[in-house]
Amino acid sequence: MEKRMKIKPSTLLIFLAAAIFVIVIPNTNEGYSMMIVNLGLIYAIATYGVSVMLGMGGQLSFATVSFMGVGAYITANLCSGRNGINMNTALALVIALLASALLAFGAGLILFRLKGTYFTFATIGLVQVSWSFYLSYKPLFGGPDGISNISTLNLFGFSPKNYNDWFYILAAFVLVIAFLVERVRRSQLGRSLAAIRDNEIAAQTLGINVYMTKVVAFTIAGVLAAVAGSLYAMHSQFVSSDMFTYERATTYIIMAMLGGVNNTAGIFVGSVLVTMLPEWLRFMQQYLQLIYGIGVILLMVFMPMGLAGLASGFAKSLKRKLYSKKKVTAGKEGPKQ
Amino acid sequence: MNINTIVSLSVNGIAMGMIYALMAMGLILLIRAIGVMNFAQGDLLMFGAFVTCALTVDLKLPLWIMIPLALISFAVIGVIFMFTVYWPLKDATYPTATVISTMGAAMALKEIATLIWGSLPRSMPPLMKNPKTGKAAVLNLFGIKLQWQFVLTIIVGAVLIWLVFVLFEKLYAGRMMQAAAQDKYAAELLGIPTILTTAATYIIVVIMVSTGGYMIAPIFMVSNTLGSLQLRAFAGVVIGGLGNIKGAIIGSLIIGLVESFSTIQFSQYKDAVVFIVLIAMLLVRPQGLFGEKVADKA
Amino acid sequence: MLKITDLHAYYGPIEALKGINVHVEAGKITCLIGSNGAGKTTLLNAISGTIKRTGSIIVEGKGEIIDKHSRFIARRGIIHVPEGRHIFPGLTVRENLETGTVNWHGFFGRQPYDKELKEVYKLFPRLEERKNQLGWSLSGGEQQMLAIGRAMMARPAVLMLDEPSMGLAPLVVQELFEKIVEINKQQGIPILLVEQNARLALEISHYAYIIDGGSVKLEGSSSELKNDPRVIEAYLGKFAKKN
Repeated sequence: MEKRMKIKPSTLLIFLAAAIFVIVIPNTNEGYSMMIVNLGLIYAIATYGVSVMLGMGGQLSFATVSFMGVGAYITANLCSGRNGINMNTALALVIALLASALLAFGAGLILFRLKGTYFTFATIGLVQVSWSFYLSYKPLFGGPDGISNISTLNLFGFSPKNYNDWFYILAAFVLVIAFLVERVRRSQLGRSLAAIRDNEIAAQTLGINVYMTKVVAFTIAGVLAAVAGSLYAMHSQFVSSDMFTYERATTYIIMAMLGGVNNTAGIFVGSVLVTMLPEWLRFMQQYLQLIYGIGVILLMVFMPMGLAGLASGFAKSLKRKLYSKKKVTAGKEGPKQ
Repeated sequence: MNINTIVSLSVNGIAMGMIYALMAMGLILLIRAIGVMNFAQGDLLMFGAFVTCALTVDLKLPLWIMIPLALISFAVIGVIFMFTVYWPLKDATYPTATVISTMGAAMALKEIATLIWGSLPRSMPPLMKNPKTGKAAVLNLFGIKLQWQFVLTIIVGAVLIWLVFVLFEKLYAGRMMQAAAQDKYAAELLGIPTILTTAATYIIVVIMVSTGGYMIAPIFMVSNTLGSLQLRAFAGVVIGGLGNIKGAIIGSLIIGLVESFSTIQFSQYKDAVVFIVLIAMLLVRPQGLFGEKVADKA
Repeated sequence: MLKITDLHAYYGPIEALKGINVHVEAGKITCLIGSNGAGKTTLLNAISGTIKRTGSIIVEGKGEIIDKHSRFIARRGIIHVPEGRHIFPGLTVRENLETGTVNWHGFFGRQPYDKELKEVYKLFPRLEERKNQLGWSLSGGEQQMLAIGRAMMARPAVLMLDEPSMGLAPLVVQELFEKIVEINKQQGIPILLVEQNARLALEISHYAYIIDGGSVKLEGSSSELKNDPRVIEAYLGKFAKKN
């Protein structure tokens, strides 16, 4: 029995688009606009966490920002000379990763004692608690002024000198993470999550440990958020609590929904778009939030599966048109036109 | 800590708890009737506060004109909200889509309020003023000084909640609304106009929430950040227990009290305290104070 | 009483009923039998207006209802007791029964419904015993009685029952069907009975239609069809051929 690797035309298209993106963007942007693109990439990493929890598992969680804070503040505290420590940032990233995994696992164990809506409300509670501490507890989080002077990434001696350098680093991170997330989607874990998303009770009867599966997914989401937070701290070299509010949490959810909450390529597109939109629409800044808000409603009404859903729908109708044409020209019995 | 402080903080806490309870009850009514968690609940409160502020401060309308006008506005807002946010997603296969739509509505509401009334917070005069000093009236209860606005909030909130209970339990129309919320299909087959009952539910919820906004406007200042109060209502719903209205009301009052008393020690961390209590509650009793019931009256 | 002509019904793009002709005669029990997926529930849904349909459904004395919304169909006395009972779980038995009165009582009406309530309690004494109990706490059989009682409160011109025997123990079903016969005999209400339990359905009904694949395959008086070999075959499902 041979196992052929089926390469779909859509996958090729995505790789092509990604390649074009990586080549074109750094050559057409620098400075401020490059920074914005970079932020989009960083947010994409956090949004992949949303994708795992919401897209695969069907659980709406706001906790993304809490764990971004974990990653950001660990990095900030270890790499800014605060408390006399100025550690290598790559090492700090690893520490953040491990710490967030532990915290997310613990939080997940508590939060998933609730189901559905009530779980969501509880994650909001978590966000409020973490934000409150991030805002007020000066010793660890610098209070409203935040923490500054955070060193930039130092990977085996290589440090990005400007935002363009950062772009390549972040693009690499996003690529690796996207690949890993896609692997998860197709793995046993991903399938279990899909079962839970579609019918939790049925999943239970199939022998899936619903509780632990959700906790594992939550942990993954938390780790991804922490990585994003850590990179953010290194990239912006400044961290403050406004990044970790309830309102910011809603942004990540919207990024996920825009791109296609369960589509790996879509998540990336959604994140970058939502980040860039305020810049492109700068001229109508007054109405920005209004358009944004109405846009979200329209998005849910007409494209709940996001841009990815739109794209696949388009691809399907395209295929149908091509396919039916083939049948007629081959002279076989085809559908009546 | 003397008796003065305790009573004063308690009144404060129960007053805020009433506001949260109005939101919490509205949340549950909407979840029952439409299956939708409304993340725009707080912003509806905010909008209601702005509307009443405009009627009271800008148009300088006396109370007896302002109230009916306000109620009509709230009804209109409720219907518009239903048709823009809920109606298009009525048959949605993806329930989270509706939730996120309400998030979009929250943003839109905030911005509409800012566009109409500007981004600066506005102040609203309290309902009762001391004729001598012109400042907010103070009730002197056995030597303890209480802000009348807080006391009125408790009274108005309690009356409103009681009225809604009466509507749902004592009135024929209210029972039909309950039926429509519990099983839309069966209700339609019996001739119950479910569109009307849903609209009525929205109107009631907006009235409750907006009244809350009106009552606390003099205390908080009317600004577009009032929406964040909904997070307390969410906590109240969870503590009260899974969709139980009476539980949500009690849960909200508890949250109000916790918040109020936490200002003694942890003023800065008020938010954290409230939600730590919530999470602690979940550890101890995940089904909330009043546990799991299939459905209860009103 | 109810004349259905060339009825087509659709679930989205799928045509579930392909030109049905059914006549529900006044004062009689008409039954609809067929295997799963044959279109029985679809027919009731089409009549009560909850799915897309074309054709003609005329109610004697009230006119055409094919284009009417389900609320107005209920108001014309066509009461559909759905499959699975669908009683209101959070209302008491008495309140459930009360909801049946909407179509003639009106939302803000003040007319009393004690007479109708008393009649339903006489028909189903068990409901009176449990009148303050919440709907979800009733047994399956009691819920079915409640659903039918609720429909009776609506002063139905035609009562449509969708698989009342589903999920109930044989003794309970027996009792239930006796009540159905009683309703028809004593109050002369025409009943359209959709059933999986073909034997029972043929036993209590006057006229029967056998549906398969969205169209009527056979019809006739129940006493004839009971002894028809083709119908006997249909119990075993041989009638449901794949084309």
